[in-house]
Amino acid sequence: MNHNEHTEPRIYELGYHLVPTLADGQIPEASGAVRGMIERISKDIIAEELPVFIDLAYQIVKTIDHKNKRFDEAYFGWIKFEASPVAISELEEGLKKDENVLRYIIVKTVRENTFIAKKFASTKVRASEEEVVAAVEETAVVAPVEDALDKAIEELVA
Amino acid sequence: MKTNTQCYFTANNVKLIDYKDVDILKKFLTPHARMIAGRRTGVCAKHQRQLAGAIKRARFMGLLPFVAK
Repeated sequence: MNHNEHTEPRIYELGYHLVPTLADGQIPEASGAVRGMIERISKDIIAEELPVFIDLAYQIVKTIDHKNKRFDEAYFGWIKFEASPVAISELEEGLKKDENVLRYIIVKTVRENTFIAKKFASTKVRASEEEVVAAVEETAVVAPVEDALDKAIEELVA
Repeated sequence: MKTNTQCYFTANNVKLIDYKDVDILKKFLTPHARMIAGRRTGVCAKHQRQLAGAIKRARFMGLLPFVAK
């Protein structure tokens, strides 16, 4: 890939799979190694999601010690960062050498959040919050009436 | 001025289609995991190109299948 056409910094996103053979305790270390590679080339890490265990849609084959190993699951994480195009080839070399990285992808993206599924979910949440607020207001209106009724009953009994 | 509100992504003011948005991408696939043509989904040409790219990236990363069933 030719990264020499542009020299000004751009927003990139690295998505990566870590091999599922890692224990839970080793995940922060492995993802920290990937993050370290990015920190070496980038000053600005915009967003990040730590690796989560997922089922893959198909088997991914990786050659480890001259043997093909097949994986149905992986830990998937991503990091969005700003870097110059020249530094990306350095990053790619580092990722290829890392044995814990099953597969990776580096894409050009934008600084803003591009996850629309979450955005829609949050609007739904906001709508439900509004409903809750309305319900609370209704109960607040009802409460004084009940208090007045209680007092009236107490007066009648007395 | 008449605007095209048919396109799912234009209607939701999507700037860039993310390859990680698997739930959204799946809506534009057949049960055999093939992409549905823009003329069937009503997605505008600009977003159909972005969508195709995002689906291909998701397939490469094993988030979506190349073939199913």
